[in-house]
Amino acid sequence: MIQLKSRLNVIDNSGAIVAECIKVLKNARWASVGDEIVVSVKKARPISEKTTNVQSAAKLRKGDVRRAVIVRTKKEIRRPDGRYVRFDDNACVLLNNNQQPLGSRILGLVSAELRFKNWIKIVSLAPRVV
Amino acid sequence: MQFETPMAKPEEKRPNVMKVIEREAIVRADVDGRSKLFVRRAAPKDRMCAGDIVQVETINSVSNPSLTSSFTGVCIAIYRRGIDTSFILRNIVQKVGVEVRYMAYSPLLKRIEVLQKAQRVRRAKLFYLRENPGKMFRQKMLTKSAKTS
Repeated sequence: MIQLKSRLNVIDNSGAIVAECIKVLKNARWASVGDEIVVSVKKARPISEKTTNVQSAAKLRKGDVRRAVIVRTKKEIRRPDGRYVRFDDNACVLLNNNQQPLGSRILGLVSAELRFKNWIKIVSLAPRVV
Repeated sequence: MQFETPMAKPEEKRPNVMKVIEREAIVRADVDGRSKLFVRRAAPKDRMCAGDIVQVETINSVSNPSLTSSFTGVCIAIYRRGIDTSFILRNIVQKVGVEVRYMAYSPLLKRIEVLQKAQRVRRAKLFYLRENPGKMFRQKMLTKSAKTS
């Protein structure tokens, strides 16, 4: 149940650490696993001073606005066979405008709901899917 | 599976329809004897208790029943509701806590196995483990099964 102002952990290697939801991209108030949202980066990994201006422009900074897909929620998700799955935190993976992941690696567990909602690239990058 | 006479206990002169339906439904769903795990008045060593380490194997697709996935975890809650009996297993996978609530009599649940009985647990619902895991999730049975599954 991710909505406006919800904070999510970013679990890819794009440089962001915490992102805040600013828009749910479906005609609903809440978003769940597999839904796309627009986020603002609240905490990012520090960019080293050695990178040139051109290189550092491509890295993520605090305050950047990007799209993301939710991969884990603390609110339980119902599976068709009656199972409920719940994770200990809310997590997302940042995307570019073509719905492709921004980072090249995913560090952590993702929910198997992503497979049913056609986020196959993310499922294949993830080290573990539950 | 049809029952010629309703499953009523001999002392029930006018049996309650809903209780009879529940009993019959459980008998139909109880293919491998898993209802013994959820009997309230059994000895702790015969039934599933909160704090046990349990491994569950689920069938992923109805068309191909041999494709299974398994999940091992500590049972933190059991909801005994007749045919709607369910239990929650909690485990820490890749440093993230995951809880899965399984419906006990679902035909997609291939096997429920209690790997290790609970020790030193004095509650029916172990929700305190979310904040205070202690050594509960470092037990050998959990990590051993995680490597094989």
